[in-house]
Amino acid sequence: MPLSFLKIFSELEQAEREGVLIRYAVGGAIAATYYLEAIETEDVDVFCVVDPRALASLDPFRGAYDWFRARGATWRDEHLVIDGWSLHLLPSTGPLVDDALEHPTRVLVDGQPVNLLSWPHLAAIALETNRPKDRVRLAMMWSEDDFDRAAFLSLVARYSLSERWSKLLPLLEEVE
Amino acid sequence: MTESLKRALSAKRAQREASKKKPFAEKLAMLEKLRERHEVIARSRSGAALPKRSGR
Repeated sequence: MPLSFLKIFSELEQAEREGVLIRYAVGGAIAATYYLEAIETEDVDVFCVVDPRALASLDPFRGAYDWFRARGATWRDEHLVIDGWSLHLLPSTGPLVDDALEHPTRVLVDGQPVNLLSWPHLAAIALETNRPKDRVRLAMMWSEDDFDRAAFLSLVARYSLSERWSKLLPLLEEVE
Repeated sequence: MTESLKRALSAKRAQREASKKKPFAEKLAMLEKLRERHEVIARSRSGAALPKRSGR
């Protein structure tokens, strides 16, 4: 594993151990790369929960940003940069992401643990976000033999995404 | 669909399948190389000095 990712993953683990992040899970293209083929990106998207007391402030991630910067991360265009990678700390956007953060997939990469969004959660969040690139990624996931469709569909039903899914499914089946 | 297009799509699919089976660490290494390449291109376009290689 490249040293950059080793550093990023170990920093996330340390941030969680020290309570800077209450919970975290890497999502976006990096998580998708674990389940699919390598998906080009320059960003590491990290969904996270911070101390509830910080949520009352105007910038709830300020403490986390300061912690990473004190440990060598730099700051560029309003996000952290570690070894050239833009690290985006993302707050939960609702109950689906809350659930994803409570049920991450724990992965060991060359001995380094890291939390990733579970595959069904990653797909459901893509459906919820619903940008063109999310739909492309969802199509890729849906076509995989080992994708847990039942778990995904359960999230779709639980988090009120059924209507959106029923519109998208025929398009995905056309691609298949 | 023409035969040549079918063959190209089939080759692309095989390439994707092979890439998928690689260990996560290898896929991350691929992403790192791509990111470094983009950084070099961006710096050369802006006229900024290239970073010294860290030995990675």
